[in-house]
Amino acid sequence: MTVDLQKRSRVRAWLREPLFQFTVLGGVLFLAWPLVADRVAPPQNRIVITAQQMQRATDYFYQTHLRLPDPDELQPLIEDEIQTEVEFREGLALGLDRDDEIIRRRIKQKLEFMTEDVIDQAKPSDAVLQAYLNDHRDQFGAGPQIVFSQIYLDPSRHGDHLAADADKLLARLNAGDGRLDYGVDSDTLPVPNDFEATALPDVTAMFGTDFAAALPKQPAGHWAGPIRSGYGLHLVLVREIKPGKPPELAEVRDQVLREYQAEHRAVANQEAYRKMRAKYAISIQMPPPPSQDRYKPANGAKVGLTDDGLAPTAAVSR
Amino acid sequence: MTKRFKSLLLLTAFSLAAIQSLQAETNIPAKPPNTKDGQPYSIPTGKTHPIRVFWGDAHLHTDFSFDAGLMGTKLTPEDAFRFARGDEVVSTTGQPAKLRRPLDFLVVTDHSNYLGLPIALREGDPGLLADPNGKKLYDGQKAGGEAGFKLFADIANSLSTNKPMLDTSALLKSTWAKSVAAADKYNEPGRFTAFIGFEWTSMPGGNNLHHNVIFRDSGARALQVIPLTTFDSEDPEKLWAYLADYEKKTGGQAISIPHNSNLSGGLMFADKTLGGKPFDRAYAEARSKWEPVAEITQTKGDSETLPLLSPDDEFANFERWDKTNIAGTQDDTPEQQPHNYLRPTLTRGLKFANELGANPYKYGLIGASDNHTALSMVAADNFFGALPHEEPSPTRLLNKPLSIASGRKPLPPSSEMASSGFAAVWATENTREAIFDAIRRRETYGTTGTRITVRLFTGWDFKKGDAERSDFADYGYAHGVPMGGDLSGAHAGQKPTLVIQAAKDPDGGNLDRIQVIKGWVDAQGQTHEKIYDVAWSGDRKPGADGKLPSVGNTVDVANATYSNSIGAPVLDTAWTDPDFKPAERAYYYVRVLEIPTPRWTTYDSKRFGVELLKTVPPSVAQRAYTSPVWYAPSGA
Repeated sequence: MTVDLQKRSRVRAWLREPLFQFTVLGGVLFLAWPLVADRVAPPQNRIVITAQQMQRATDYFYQTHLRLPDPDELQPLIEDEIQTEVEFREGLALGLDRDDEIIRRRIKQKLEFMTEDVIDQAKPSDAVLQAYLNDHRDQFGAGPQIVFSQIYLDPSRHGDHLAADADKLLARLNAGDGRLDYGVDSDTLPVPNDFEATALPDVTAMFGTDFAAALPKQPAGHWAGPIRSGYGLHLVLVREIKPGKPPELAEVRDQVLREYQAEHRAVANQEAYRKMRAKYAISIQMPPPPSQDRYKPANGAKVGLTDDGLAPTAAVSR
Repeated sequence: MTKRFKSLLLLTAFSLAAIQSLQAETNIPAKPPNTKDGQPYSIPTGKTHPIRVFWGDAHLHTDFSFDAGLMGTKLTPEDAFRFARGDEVVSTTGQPAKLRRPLDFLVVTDHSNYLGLPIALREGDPGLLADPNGKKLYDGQKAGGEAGFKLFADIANSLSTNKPMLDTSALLKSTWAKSVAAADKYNEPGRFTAFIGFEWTSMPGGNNLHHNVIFRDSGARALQVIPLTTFDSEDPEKLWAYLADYEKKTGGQAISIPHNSNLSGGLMFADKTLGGKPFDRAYAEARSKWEPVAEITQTKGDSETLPLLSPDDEFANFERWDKTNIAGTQDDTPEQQPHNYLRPTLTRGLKFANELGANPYKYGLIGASDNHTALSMVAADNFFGALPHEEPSPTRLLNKPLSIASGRKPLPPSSEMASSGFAAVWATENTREAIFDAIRRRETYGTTGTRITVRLFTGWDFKKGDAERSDFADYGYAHGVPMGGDLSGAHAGQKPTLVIQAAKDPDGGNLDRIQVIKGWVDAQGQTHEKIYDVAWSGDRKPGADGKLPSVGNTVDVANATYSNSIGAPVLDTAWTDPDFKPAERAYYYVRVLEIPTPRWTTYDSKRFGVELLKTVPPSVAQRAYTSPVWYAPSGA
């Protein structure tokens, strides 16, 4: 008795389940459709809203609502798809697609998307990405790092003695008498004297391009230089150069894919267009030269035209 | 049969997958990610304080912005990020463009009003064309000529009148998603920081109240909101409510940065709310929370001060845009100017702090470009202009003043754009979190397009020689507060000492001098400002009038060159305020001046062989402005 009741309520729960209703209803429609379809509409007037279309509509709903549509909201999405398809076909029947600037542009745009898709959708194999990574190692993962110290000589404090002072200090430091006091030996600079492992882009940011280029070339293990930066002269002690750890593809896959696609997109687009264009014979008919009035702004306002009428700009609001 | 059943299954499966991905999206790590080894991305320093300054642009527009896109900008947010991180790109006018040194971070801040409109117009977006005004705009643009200009002007004007020309809410959502995706795609912790952001372009009556919004977070949080537009509200208090709501809803963080107060017709720092009410404590606290820093310099002029406001400041006459508000609907009046510029406003803030117990104008300082070309390039010798038609060309110096519509006062011509500026941030590492946090604590400065390094600590115990310590930063943080910080409670006989180090741009001109700018309120409630020269190059001695002699000028105008034979590469000092009164609230900020170098127009004149203009100076002293340190008496 109890068991029976439980069973019955379970069945009832099943019957109330929208997914079940949906499936059964769908099944009935599906079975019945072939019997009635031909009587409803001729084959060319049949509209199938595909799962792909529904998915796209649901995707779009999700993008704008950050949640999925509930059943009430799903129906209008379906209706909208149907209406679009109906009106599209009616429009085609009227020939509205011909000689229309909007449609011309939309189709061009769609074709361009398709070409770009070649790059964006074609999933390059791991071998391709690995090869790209090998060729562009510096762009990914941690590059080489330098452990170093620097002593700064300020040209405005040393004047004519700058080079001589640098040489004297260098000799003293390498003589190994152990006397090194940055507070005395180094002039003031708002960057540190001692650096733990530091990446080259950070060295460039702090000392400029010349210094960063020269630093890795200095012999390691003793004071060397002087090398020049935009600030003046530096004696440097390269303690260690830690070679960059070649990143595993798995660690930097997203970045490699991003760079690979960016690099190949332009080339692929140009190539695809070149091929298509080659099929056409093109002739150009120029309009007569424009009248002065054509490029005059509204109400005779001055809107940033140069004297020769180039560089038209109107509103600015920033 | 199987096919249809499959579709049904597919739909169900998709729904489940989408629900899962929704859950995954909200699963945000509490901390920034470490590398595989569990190490943070920063330079390994063993230090918890910043060791280097990070350079960036906190304000840039791309083809997503209605004005940039309609004026012809073709470059996208992705282009903007690639360019900023050091890649070569081709500019809107087809010119290869590259930075001499990459930037460390960038915020793309396209206008939320009409976000994405130029793209929709170009693509003939069906949603846009369904709107009668959208269709008109589309046809107008296609027709070009007078009709095009008219509609274009109408769009810009609709921001002043705050009446939307068309409903672009769907476009806003979809373009926002693209904007966020671009930032997420290019953000690489430790290498390059790509911030998510937008500009809220409020301009009641044509008076500039623009603010840039910057998010600390990724799209997982930022996509839970859509940008506030001024059609939602023109009132900054509503913007703060939006930011507060964002933080509450998502657990993320966001701030806003006001800019071009110089074009606000006195409205930006009006000393009353937009609704006309007097300030109260809650307002002051909210404002300083949501607007921790302000843009002091950018292409559309400097917002520090004017000769009119600071007659004793011989360097105040710099890149002035001080004739009208941003829409050219009214001329500036002398009464408005104190409310357009940051220095007098910082000073009035002290007065409010005395009256309300909180300072509504507690602004740290930062620079930005506000370029509308998707290119953050502001160095005087590599300046690509603020607008597409200002990109390098033999005619750009001749561009005429801009006017939004007939009857409006014109804005200055291209030649009066400043090649400015940069945001400099003392952050612990190059990540969204570290840089955002540094901006929020105001450890920032702005420069006019040069990369001067400047560091400031203020404390009670610093003494002569401390600015030359080799452990300057360690010692400074341990014994004082950095730029943007607070000092309080002087004991009897104590005076604050500022220790300052400044170094030239390694690729730029030498330094002329370091100045401390002090503002204070005396016992009678009177506000004052004073400029102290505290360190300078060479052996110059101040004259009888207290003025330091000029550093000189090595600029060879005809050849657009200069020489670092004057000035110094590095200046430093420990400076104690000789006029300090413990009972008087005060702030101190530092201005570092370079020796004169050619203005960008002088480089243009040389490179294109065109005549030098008489309307702009041939050389300028580039500069850096630090955030202030604020002093409050104990118990205040």
